[in-house]
Amino acid sequence: MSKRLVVEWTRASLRLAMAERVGGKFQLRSVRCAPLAADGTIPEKLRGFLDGQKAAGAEVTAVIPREQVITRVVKFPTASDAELASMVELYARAQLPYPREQTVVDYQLLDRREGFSWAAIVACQREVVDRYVAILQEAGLPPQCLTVSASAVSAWWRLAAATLTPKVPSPCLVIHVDDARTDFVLTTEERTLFARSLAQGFGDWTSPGEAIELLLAEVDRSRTAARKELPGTEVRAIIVTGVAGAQAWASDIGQRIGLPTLAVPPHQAFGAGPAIQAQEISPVVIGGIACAGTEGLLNLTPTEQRGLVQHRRQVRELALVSALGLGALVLGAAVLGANVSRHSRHVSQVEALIAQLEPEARKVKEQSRAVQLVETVLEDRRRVAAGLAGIFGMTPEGVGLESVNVDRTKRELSVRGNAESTQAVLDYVDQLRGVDGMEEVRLKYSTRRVTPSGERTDFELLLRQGREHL
Amino acid sequence: MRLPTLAISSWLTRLAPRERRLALSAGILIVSWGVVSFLLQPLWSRGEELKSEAASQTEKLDALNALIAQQQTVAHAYEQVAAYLQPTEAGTQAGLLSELESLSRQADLRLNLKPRPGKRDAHGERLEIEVDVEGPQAKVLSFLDEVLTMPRLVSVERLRLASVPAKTDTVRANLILQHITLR
Repeated sequence: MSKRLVVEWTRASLRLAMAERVGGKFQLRSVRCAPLAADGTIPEKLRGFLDGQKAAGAEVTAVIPREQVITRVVKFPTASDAELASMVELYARAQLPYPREQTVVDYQLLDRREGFSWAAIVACQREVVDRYVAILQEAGLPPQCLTVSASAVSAWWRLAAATLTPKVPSPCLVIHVDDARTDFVLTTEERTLFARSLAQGFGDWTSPGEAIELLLAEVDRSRTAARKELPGTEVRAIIVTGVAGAQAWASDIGQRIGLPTLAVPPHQAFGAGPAIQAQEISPVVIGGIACAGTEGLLNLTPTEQRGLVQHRRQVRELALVSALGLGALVLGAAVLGANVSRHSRHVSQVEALIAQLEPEARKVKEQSRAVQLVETVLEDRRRVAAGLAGIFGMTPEGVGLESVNVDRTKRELSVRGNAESTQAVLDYVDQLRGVDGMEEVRLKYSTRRVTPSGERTDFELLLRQGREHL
Repeated sequence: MRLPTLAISSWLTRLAPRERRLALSAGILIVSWGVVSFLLQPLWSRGEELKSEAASQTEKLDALNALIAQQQTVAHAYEQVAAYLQPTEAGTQAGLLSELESLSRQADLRLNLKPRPGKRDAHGERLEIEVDVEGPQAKVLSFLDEVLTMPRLVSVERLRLASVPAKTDTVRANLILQHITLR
């Protein structure tokens, strides 16, 4: 997807962030905020936010406040992912204060060593999750992911830490001060280790001194709880972020705790982001998810909603593949069409040329045929004349000719006559063979007979003339 | 167009997700089949048809060009034989018969002429005449020489030259001449 939409509502305000993919990374495009009335008009307000936003097809993520969920860090005696999943499920059935079927559970592996796995389990009442899903669906934004605000703070920190030099020691405790809530998130650059939440925010405190004291007390509680739940884990730095006024307290907190403390403005993670509409809210949670995505975040989306999301994704992918396939077919058709048009043009050009040349060519052809015919007739006549001339010229005195037949189609001459002897006939045959253009001279028969005037030999010869004669 | 789209869309939303995917896949297959059958295949066939037509037409054009390249040679040769092809009155059968009679009269030969029915084809007409001449051998041969060199499109289809029994130095020539008239 090329757009992400993140929705969060606290007890005081409704926020919405939108990010767009630019060159492989998501950039925050807009952050909107509106105060939330007690009568609960979230769907209408969301629809109002979306007017003119071009949010169709965006991946929607909703944030559930940390205080609405239960988190536990539990050590399990396994190093296998499959076993860990079963153990978490058993733990959820046995240890959570709600019936399992009325709960949505997710977990995140924090550490694994010496055959043990430490997992952060997060559980939320099904009723709360269903309410979120219903509100979003009513607003026309079916959610792909429901996550926890602490997890979103961790996502923001991953982006912000990458921009800081020198690197901040890890793990660090991120104090995220919002208008009506404060998150304490112990995180590395890879994952959230521990999270606590305070249902008070910048808007609830009357003086900085009071706020700093409260925050210091909560930092202490967080460090103690972290040491207890994750033995050997020590906070090595403190990050203060959130509303603009709270960042000024970083130096005081640092001095009092004795740890490196840094105030990091929210937009540090977003680069050249948009102007934030209301300065009194923190865009860390919604902006963090919008830019970092939901990969690695705790996901409290119900199973059926996940199925629906997966189905939508499959349909979208199917539609995309089909569109690509159809595009390829249409492209192929366009190429074929161009080819047909090219051939058609070529044929038309050739036909036009043929039409132009045909009358002249026909005339040449007819003339050529006439010339050929005349030449054939003349050649045949010459052949006949040459044959007759050859026969009469070569006939010696002792040979008498009775008949000469010429057949043009067979190119044959037959000569009948008589001679004094067979030898004279044979001599005559030899002489005729010497006639120019005579291909074959064959004695068909010779008959010796006695007549009143003496003996004589009757004969018939077949003469064949060559084609190349003359 | 919008109404059917809406109807399909509402029908799709009523289906279970799996059925919807199957319906979409089936729809895609049908559309692809339609595109292939009614667009790609006809285009391909038409392209092949035109390619083959272009090849045959190019071949024809080459042949015409080759003919036109011979135009001067043919025209020259045609001029040379044009005398044989003039469709003048002298080129008719009557003209030929009178010329044959004239030749036989000059040679003092006895002449019999027997015109046969003509044959027509796409290129012209062929008229056959059977000629029978009798006389002294030298004169008959001279007559034959005249026939064989006459400036007409006449071919000698058959010739029989035979001596006449009991008549010394008399020969008889029987010819079948074909007079060709081109259109």
